[in-house]
Amino acid sequence: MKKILIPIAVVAVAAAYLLGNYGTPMAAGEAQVGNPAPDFTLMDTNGNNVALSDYSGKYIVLEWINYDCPFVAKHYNAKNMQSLQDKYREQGVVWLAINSSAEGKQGQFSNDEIHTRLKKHASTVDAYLLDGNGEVGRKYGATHTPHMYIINPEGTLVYMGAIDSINSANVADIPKADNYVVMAFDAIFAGNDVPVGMTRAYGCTVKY
Amino acid sequence: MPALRGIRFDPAGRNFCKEVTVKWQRDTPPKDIDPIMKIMKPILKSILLLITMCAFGLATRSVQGQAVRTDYMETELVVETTSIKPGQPFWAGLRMKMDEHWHTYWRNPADSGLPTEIDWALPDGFQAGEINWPYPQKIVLDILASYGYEGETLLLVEITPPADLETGGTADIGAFASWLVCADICLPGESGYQVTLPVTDEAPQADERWTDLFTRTREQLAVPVPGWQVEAVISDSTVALHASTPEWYRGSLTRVEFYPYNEDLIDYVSPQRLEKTETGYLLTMRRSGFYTGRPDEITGVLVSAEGWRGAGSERALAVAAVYADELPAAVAAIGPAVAGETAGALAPVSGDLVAGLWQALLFALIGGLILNLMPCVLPVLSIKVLGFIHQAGDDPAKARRHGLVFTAGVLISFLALAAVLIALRAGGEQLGWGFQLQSPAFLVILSVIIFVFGLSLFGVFEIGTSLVGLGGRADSGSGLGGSFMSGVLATVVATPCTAPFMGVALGYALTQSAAQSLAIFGFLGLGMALPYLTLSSVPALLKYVPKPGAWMESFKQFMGFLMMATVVWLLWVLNLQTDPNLVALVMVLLVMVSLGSWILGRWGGISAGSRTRIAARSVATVIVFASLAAVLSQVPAPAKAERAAMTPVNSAGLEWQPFSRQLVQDLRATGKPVFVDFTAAWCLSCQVNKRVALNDSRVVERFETLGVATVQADWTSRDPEITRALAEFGRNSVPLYVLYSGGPDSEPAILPELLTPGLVLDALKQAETGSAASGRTVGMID
Repeated sequence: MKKILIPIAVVAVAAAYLLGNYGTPMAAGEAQVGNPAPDFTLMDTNGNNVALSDYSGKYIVLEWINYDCPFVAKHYNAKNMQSLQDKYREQGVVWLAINSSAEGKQGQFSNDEIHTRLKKHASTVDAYLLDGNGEVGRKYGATHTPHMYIINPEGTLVYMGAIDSINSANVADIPKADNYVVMAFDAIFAGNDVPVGMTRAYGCTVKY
Repeated sequence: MPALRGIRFDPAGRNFCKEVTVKWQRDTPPKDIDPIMKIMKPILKSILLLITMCAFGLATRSVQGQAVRTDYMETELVVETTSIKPGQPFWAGLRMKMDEHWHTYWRNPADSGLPTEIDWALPDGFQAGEINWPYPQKIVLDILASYGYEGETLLLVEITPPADLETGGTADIGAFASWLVCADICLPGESGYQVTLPVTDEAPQADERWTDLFTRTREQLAVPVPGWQVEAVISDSTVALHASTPEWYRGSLTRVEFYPYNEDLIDYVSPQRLEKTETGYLLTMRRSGFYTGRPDEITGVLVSAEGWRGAGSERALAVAAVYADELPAAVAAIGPAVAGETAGALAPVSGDLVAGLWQALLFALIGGLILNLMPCVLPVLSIKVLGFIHQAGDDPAKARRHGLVFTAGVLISFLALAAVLIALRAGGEQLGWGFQLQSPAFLVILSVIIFVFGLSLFGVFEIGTSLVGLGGRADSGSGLGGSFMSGVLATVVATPCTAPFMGVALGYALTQSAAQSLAIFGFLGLGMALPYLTLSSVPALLKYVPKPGAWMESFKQFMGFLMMATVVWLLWVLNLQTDPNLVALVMVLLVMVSLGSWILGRWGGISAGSRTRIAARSVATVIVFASLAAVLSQVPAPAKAERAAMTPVNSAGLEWQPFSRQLVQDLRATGKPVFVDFTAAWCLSCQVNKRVALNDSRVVERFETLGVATVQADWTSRDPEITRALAEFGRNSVPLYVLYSGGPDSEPAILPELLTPGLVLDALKQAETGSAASGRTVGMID
């Protein structure tokens, strides 16, 4: 038997080697509405490690961001994103912006540049997190910018998808659209279930 | 679900300006009533122009009848005719020409993007219709797909002037367009345009500059084709369309893609599966997880390069499919498989599906059998046969056991490779069969294994007894591991030799569910192991093979040369993937390996004293593995090769241009025939085809006389674009030879996987007659 086991081990090692060599497969994302939101730890723009579990017991919004994406620019130029950030952070919601642009791709900036942009847009977030290797983005199945996620105090993902109902980069469409983040929080604060848990995100592709 | 809106990055004042224009135009009294107006007209016209320009926003550009260059593209307002006749509708359009790798979007942009919008600024009484969209192409970016246009396109709009339009003057056709143009990043763009045309009573003449473009674009518009009846079947996980073939239809469809108008209905990136039914074709798509409702009808465009009225006819069929209350009998056979997924249980498949699977399994079995004849597999397996000959006199039970273990070795390694491939593909990797040879480290290890095997065949040292089960040792347990290992080795060296039949079977395999894929790969392995399995379980057959004798030793040693040749070939592949320095290093490694083998053979044999033997084995092991480790540490990770830099796969004969989708499209647009060779250095049949057929002097001469553009898609290293292009032809392996004739019906002809000069010449002849008959090209490939 031993003599058979060795070749089997060789095949297994070879297979593992191939898998390892070709990198982690790009999964569709393990994050699912109704399931626990996957934990992660990322560096923020001040060099601190921030873990999702640091904020357990609170509502958390994850916002996938890329300032140079016309769809993100739409929501920042209209101050729409900032007003959501201010509104919900005042109510104790934690707001984390996450950038998954790979090194050299659009939307990847130095910490100084990010601080400048945050200031320019008068945007206040609890942390702007750097996910340059895309690990967290892939784990969450983040495909677009903006791509929004809401996690409840029990750590369950209750919303993932678009920011609102109109796929456009036109500022004029913002007031006409149904904002899914607002709809979700309205329901949550009224003690109801989130009406639409999952929508197809719109925007630019995440620059993995 | 979200409604689609266009982007308007216009300065805030533009809409205001336009309203003023409209108001002013409406307030203008009818011109022929007031004689003063005739004097005023030129002045008024200038004012009108100014205001119209205001309407377009002076901050942008309003250009009179010429192309506007904006980021990564050129746009232009074009009108089909050179004049306007009152009351007679005419066609205008926005011509968009994107730079290479950039695209704009169709009416449903799919996963990402925005449709182009056109706002018209027309004189009073003019009516502009909706945009008529040519069918798009599917542009896959990583895990998302978009529907859009690369290269040049024209968005057609019909404009109707009022019947009471005054003749003798001119009319200003103005438009303002906005769009999103994307490669891997996106930029919004916009521009204003104006074309001034005379208004006359004469029949309008075509503007020759645009005749071709308009004609070409019309061929790409979705049209209803009476006779084709499309019905929809929808389940929780799938959306399927069944198109019933009209009686008169004589063609055959092999590739069909559905582009839905309904947003969010299907999962755009998943491949769509086409099956032939008794009465037509069934196209099955994965349903999007975002669509919870059920649309009243499923609308969109079914695109087939084969044409819905036969070869060369309309490619885009307009579809408004209602649900089939009762499935047609032919669909019912497949329907349960589609609907059955709802139940979450294994679908009770029947009819065509099963037929397809059995056919694929049969092809896989035959393909596996043929693999035995491939030069890289022959040595391993012929040695295996020698083992059987040798064992002929022995215990038949033992022979059977060896046969089974060898089969298990082949099967397990085939399944392991397939499982790795399926897992990686499920993860979104663009890989295909033979992918392991795209890894330089794998090549190094494989060269060493084959080299060592060759040395042992030469008799430098004896591992032959255990590795290939040559010996007839009485103790039944020994050599089983060797039999298993020879099965593994046979599989590993066989993978690049894609035999005929295998391309089809593997292409089919990878589009199926994981279980079906594994079954197909399993049968491939079974086919390869079948001769030995048969020989070992029916020992009586062995009396038909030659008697054992001294010739076996000579044969074995001769086979060693085939192994050495295989090593040379692997090093050549490695050289193409990496650089000559690494190859030199690997050759040093081989010298070290032969040193180790020599030590092992000289002092490590059973005849040596036990202390000498242990010392020799230790030294040999250390030498071999230390040098292997040292070399492997120098091997770069598999990276996408810089294709432009490497075209040595075909160094002699024809001039090959490195493949890109854009290049093929551009070349086809020139009207010349285009030949695309999907190849890889590690694909042996590709090399044989090149030597025998493609570099044949008659073939080369014919290619040159006909001015065939030759494009080479080199898949030696990983390349997602080529993997996708292969997938479009339902393939997952090389070789693949595609010939586009120059004609408008440019049906790509797919040549067999084993070429002869005659075959290529015949295909060229057909392409030639095809293009002579029609002589114009269709610019768009889907």
